[in-house]
Amino acid sequence: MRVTLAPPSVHAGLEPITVAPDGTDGRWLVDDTVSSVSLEHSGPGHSRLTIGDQVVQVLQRTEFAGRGAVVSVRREVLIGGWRVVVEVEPAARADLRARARRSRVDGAASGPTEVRAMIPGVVVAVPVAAGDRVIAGQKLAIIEAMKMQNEVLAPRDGVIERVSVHPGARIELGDPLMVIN
Amino acid sequence: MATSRSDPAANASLRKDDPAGSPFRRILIANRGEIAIRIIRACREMGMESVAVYSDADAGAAHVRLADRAIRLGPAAPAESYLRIDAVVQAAIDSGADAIHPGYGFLSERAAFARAAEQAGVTFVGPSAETIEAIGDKLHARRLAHDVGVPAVPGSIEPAMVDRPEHVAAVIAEAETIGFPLLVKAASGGGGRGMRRVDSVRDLVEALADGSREAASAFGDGAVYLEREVRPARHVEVQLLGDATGRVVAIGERDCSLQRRHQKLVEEAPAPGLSSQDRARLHELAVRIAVAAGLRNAATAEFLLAPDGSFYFLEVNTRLQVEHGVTELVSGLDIVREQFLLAAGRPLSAAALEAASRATDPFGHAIEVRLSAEDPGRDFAPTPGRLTTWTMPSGPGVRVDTALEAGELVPAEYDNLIAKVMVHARDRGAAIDRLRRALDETEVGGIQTTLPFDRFVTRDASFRAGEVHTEWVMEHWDGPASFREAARLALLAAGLTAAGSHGSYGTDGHAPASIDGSRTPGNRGASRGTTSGWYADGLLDGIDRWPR
Repeated sequence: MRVTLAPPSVHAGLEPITVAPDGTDGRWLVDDTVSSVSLEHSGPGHSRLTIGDQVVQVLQRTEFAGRGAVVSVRREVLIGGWRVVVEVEPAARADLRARARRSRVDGAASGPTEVRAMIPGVVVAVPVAAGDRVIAGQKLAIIEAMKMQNEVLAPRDGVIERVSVHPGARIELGDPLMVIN
Repeated sequence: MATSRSDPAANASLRKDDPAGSPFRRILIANRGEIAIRIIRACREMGMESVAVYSDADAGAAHVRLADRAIRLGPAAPAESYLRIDAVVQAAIDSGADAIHPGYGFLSERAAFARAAEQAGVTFVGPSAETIEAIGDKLHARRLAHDVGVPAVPGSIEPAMVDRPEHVAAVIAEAETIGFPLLVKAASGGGGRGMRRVDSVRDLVEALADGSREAASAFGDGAVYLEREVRPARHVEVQLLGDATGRVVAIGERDCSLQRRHQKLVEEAPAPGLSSQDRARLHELAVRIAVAAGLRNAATAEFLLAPDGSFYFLEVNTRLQVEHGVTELVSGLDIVREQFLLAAGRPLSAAALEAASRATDPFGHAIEVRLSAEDPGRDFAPTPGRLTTWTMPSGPGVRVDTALEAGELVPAEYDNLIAKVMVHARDRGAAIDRLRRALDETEVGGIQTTLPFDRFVTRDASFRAGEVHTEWVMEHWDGPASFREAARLALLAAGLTAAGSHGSYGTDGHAPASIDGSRTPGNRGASRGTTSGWYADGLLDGIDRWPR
């Protein structure tokens, strides 16, 4: 079947691809172009990916197999020491989602920006408060994780609309910290 | 596993080469993770019992399982468990331990801890409280080096205070004398914590305040000072051992130049490109400082090697170093074992003296990489979480020190080091080949680690040429580009798997259409079962919540 694969969204500059069998034995369509790649199963979860004369060891594991209305599958791919979390879904459904996202982005271009935690940890300082005017790059919060203090910087100019954390709070990756408007 | 007490063979073999027998009966190990296990192993080999301590986050951890007995200290936060001097000393008293080994980090360089242990009648395995005070504090150490004619990195020798306006003016004047860029460093610091790089006077006061706050949180001491930034420089350090008679020897040096944010990533012994004369000169400087500080037991003197070949003293770490293993590999000496013998008041052993006599001409070459829970594609951001795949290398000349297994959690409360992969070979080139082979065998899933960076190092021509310095990582490593290349291949691999699996595009169709049917239906539930805790609640939801 034709599937769409989305890279992890925390990394910028990566685009989804679509992959489908060509119909001819052993050939594949990658983004609708015939491609001479092959994947050879070599053990539970293990395979060798061949592209031209490059052979790469790959280890795959399903991390989240979808439930209820969620039909996409999240898969962990270990390659070259990297851990790449890939979202796999039927291409038809991915196209629908892409359209929905485009209309959402158009409507929210000038709206508030939510600042979220890029790492899990403990909030040690929040040098801004609701109502403060901030400029892009200004320090908004300090999060301590693994004994290192990490600064959260303002992604844009604006006014702090709401602060959702306080010093001492434990936060997880992706938790909302504050809203800039 | 038999306890060491009921293992007559261990005692007998120890008696054979050491007429005085085991130096202690029972050791409390005031640490966690791989270093606690390293110390338990030394205890076992020397016929001594081991007592582990643990926080609630570590109740099922490997060091607790491996020790002969274990005592709970408190909640997960270090300040409520591993950093509690009273609780650790009480645990030693309650368990009848006659010595405490502090490992590295936590309380290992707190003079108050060494003193509290000794006052409770428990031997502290490490330098005396007086030595820790004299050289564990970096400012004291800088003054001491100055007194014995060892050149230190130019900078201040008194704490920089910014809490009063008249102090601020004095600090700014001093900074301008030292010159920018400079470093704000924590007097009690280590591992880059409390350290800030300052490019101009404009950022100085804020950097001092930030550094001081981080230092206070990490070490319980907010004192900071200023030091000129020497760059590009190499980081070279000397392993020292001293005994109660005042004799101090150097066992060899290590190069730890590959760092980011002043945390070491790769360490090797001996330091590449140094002549025997360079080595002898460096070792002599290190011994001179250690003698002046009255070093007993193990310590490490750190130096910067400037481009013109001069060594500048940086600091002394009055404890076992993370990277002690590479020195063990090229010297043949068990440094933890020597620490126990020295702590018992014995003179430097024959093995230590023999290793010292070969310090400038060690056996072959050893390299260590620190496998850490950090994402080298996102500026080495912390990545605590639960491990899934966990395959460590083995084979000729490979040593792995770790406390982790598949399915275990890497807690956010503690250090990000998850394993040390060490190799030993006849020369540096062979060691790099062996390290590349070992890291290609290594697989870690569930969390991102520094593994891609480590593999990159073993393939880099300038590393092989020994052209290492403290800016190397910044200049050579492009994490995002490396990740993008891997991600492209990962999408293809996952795509070929899914597109070939006839409708079941997700669930573990490892293989493309031609060999479909190899899917294991049980994998779905199994993989979900190990994906829990902050990971399920945090990262999965976190990714779902990122704007797509």
